[in-house]
Amino acid sequence: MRALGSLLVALVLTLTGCAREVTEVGGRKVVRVWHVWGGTMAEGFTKICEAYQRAHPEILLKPVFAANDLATNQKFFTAVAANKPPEVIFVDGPQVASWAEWGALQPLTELCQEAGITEHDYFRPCWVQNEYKGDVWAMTFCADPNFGFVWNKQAFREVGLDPEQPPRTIADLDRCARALTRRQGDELVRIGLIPWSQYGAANSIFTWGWAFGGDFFDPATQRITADDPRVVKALEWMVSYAREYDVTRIASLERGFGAAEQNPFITGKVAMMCLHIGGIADLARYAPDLDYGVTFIPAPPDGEQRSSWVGGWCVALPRGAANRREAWEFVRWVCATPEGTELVGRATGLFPGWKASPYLQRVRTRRHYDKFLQILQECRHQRPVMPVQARYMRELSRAVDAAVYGKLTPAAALRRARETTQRELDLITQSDRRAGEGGP
Amino acid sequence: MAEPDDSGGRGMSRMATIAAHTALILLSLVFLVPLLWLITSSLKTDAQILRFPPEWIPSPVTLKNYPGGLTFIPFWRQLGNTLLISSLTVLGTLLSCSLVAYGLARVRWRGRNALFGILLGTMMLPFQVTMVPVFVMFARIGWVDTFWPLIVPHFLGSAFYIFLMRQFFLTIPLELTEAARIDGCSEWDIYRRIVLPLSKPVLATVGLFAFMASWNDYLGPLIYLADESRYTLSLGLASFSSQYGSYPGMLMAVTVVITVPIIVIFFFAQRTFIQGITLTGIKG
Amino acid sequence: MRPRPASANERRQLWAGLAFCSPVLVGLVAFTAYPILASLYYSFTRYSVMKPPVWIGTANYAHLAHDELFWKSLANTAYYAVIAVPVGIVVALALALLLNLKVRGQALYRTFFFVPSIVPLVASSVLWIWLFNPQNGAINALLRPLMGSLGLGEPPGWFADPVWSKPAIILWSLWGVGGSMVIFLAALQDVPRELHEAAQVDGARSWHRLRHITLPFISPQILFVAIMGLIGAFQFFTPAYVMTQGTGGPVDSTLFYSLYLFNVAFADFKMGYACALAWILFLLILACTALLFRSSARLVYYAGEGR
Repeated sequence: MRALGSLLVALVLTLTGCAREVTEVGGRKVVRVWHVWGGTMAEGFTKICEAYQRAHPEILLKPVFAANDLATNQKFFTAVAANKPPEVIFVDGPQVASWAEWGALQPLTELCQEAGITEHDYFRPCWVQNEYKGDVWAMTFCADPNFGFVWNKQAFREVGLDPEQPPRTIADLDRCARALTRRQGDELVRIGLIPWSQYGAANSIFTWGWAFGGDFFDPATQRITADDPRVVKALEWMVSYAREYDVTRIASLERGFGAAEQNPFITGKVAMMCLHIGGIADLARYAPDLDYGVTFIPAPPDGEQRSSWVGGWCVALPRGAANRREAWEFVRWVCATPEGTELVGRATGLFPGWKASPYLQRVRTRRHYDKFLQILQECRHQRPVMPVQARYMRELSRAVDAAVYGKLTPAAALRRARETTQRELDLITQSDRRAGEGGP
Repeated sequence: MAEPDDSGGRGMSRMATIAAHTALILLSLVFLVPLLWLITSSLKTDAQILRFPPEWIPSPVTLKNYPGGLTFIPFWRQLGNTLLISSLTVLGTLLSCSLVAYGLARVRWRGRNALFGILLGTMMLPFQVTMVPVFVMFARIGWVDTFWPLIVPHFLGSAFYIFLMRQFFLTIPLELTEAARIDGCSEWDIYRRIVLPLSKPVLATVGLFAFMASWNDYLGPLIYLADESRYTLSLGLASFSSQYGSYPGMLMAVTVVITVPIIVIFFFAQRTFIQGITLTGIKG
Repeated sequence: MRPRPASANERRQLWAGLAFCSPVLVGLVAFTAYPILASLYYSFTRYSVMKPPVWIGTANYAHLAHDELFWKSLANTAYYAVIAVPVGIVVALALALLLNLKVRGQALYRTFFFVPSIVPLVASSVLWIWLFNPQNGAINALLRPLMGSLGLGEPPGWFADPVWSKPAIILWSLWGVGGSMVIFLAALQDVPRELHEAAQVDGARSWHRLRHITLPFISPQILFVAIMGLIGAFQFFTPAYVMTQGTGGPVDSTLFYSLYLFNVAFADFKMGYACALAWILFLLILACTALLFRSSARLVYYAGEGR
């Protein structure tokens, strides 16, 4: 018992040693960067940080892996609430406006002006995504062109389709999908396309909704337009696949492993899909022999041709963070300098959002990447910039789910999404107005 | 228990023994499938893991995930952090919970039922809600980014384990402690010399549960630890995945490495925490 | 009760009780009382953590009635609690009884049954999604010929089907009954052998022995597991979160109460509303636990109470 006691005291003493908060070490300002780059991206991100540290020996850069799910939100928000935020934080692009609204970030407008960074330096949707209520809140770290439409040339050949002729219209797409679908008895062995499975149900409806010529939000009037007739048409088209191929059977094709990297296109279960730019590396890693092509997403003749939207991660400075100058310098370097953005591209395979990045020149002639670059250059959309964005994504996802499983008609499901989200949004704008009138 | 049929007289017929074995073996298979799958996956390349339908026996077998996984994260340092936190958690839990459980079960004082009720109540409040105020509190006293918030609360009792111990203490016959009390023993003596020695099984069980909970805790370390050098293994496991691509093979390999020791500990120590209990003596 | 002067003995007992309970008294004040009161206050406000809370009276509670997801998640949780808790107890008890038989190799069997409860969730979720795959998973591979021969048609779609997703999660939770099993096993080994021997002399059959000797003897542990199971069921979160990446799909069928609460709190940052949800949950659990205690009072037997 006594021995245990002294052991305890010793431990207590060792532990107390770490109890000091550190924003400066040996005269070097500390810049802690909470990031999401685990898995296959870990190595690349480490390279970026090491390069920056070498070039800036006067500061101490501390990358901290902070995972990537809702638990990370918890970590970050509790830290800001307790006034202990890191110096730099990674934000998922569509979340920037919400985080700004909630008071988790500090505006970068002045810093951008000083550094001469303007909206013309970035692909338009990237900049739009980071602007909220007249301020700039984050810088784009990577601009994901969502999506490249890929088709399995081998499968096309097998069923007698021309492997060099990917579908251009929705009618084409339906025809190819039908031809590519393989059954064994009652079971589906391969399906042409799973329209609602393009990186989650919400991202799927964004993708097809815009391709069908619809839109989701009107920033001028702050109206949510989830049941825009063209979005409804897109969902109706998605549901037609659920009817034709039986939704439970389709789900069994994609529920292989549940891990994020599980991709039915790789396993040959799906012959066509929308591919994220990180998917090129996955395909090279898991299915190096797969013969496929990348092109623009098909659209109906009266829809939006060559439609796409931008995704990806941004970097921001948390409210109340220490060492603002040093932190901003890092942000500027990775998001708006030739060396930084080139290294981001080389180390991660993702595209910088900064138009002048030499990396973008470099991929102009690289197979598959060249197509993704075109998609980014023509990109017109970003997910709605609004404070209730996470709720909107969840409601859209529920709408797709309900429609695909036949619980609600597409129109009713999307109407529900609009009404619920609009109510949430109005709550926030109303309280803004009240605050403006000098309320509590 | 490998010893042959004991002399207790509760011998089983041959038929019954066969039936029991059959049931046990079949159920073991059900419970073991996942473990086997975990191990075989750790011996596959990532491409093999993704193969569909999956192969039960990997061909070829690769061992690369083990050295790969153990160097992808600073495994030994994270193991040290995790062990330090877990063992102090167990110590604190056993100390504080046995004291409190004794006070609730064996000392007759007014208010003990009320306190017990309140304790039960605290188990029911979802932690998400108390988390932010508690975090702010720890931040004020400068404990964020230390192991303290993960350890100190366990020295102040935890309702779940107090309940478990109280239930156990209640089954110890009153006569035993009353006799000691009449002999002039203090409550402390009764706790130390009578109740605790009789309670090894429940201490072992609670110790195991507390260890596992701390070993697998994800949210606590994630929120409180802000420096990677203090990260624990559960945070390390999370870093094998990302939105842009993951290393399932290495994840499985490290999972095997951190799970197997607990299985081994359980195998060899199970007597203590399940079986070591005897009621002889209590009858006294 | 009429007041009477406390005897010296009573006073001594009071001080001893307080002294033994002092760790938890400190803990309650520091880590529970303040946060709970804070959360009660927040439940009457609009609060996003980073900005000061704004008092809005009972608006959060009033909104609950119209919140479709509140009712949906409550129904899902009730479904889970009503089925998973009793079934979990029966399975854990059955396993413990089997493990308590005097046959060779029990140490090994025990370890096998216990292992699942220590596999980290990240790994086990990946595994179960694969096992439940309607087309290629091991479970349906076994069920298909079985159901086919009985003329029952196709096996269920599990996580691909809103009707079967909750049963799938319940099956998964059964796989992790190792914890409860250990508690029962520890209790079973306490059942005095003399009791069994006496019963055997009486010629009591094994079912009667179980019902009239074993079960009453381990009833405190059953109550414990039941209450913990109930609380766990109401706060059921991680598996649903991991399995569905937080969406609660398909068609909200795995949107459990805590998952919804978590989304409200940490995706939407409506802390005030989340606190209101938490308080409702708290009261519900409290009521159910009290009910369980009340109704079990006559069934639970404590040797120490000397009844």
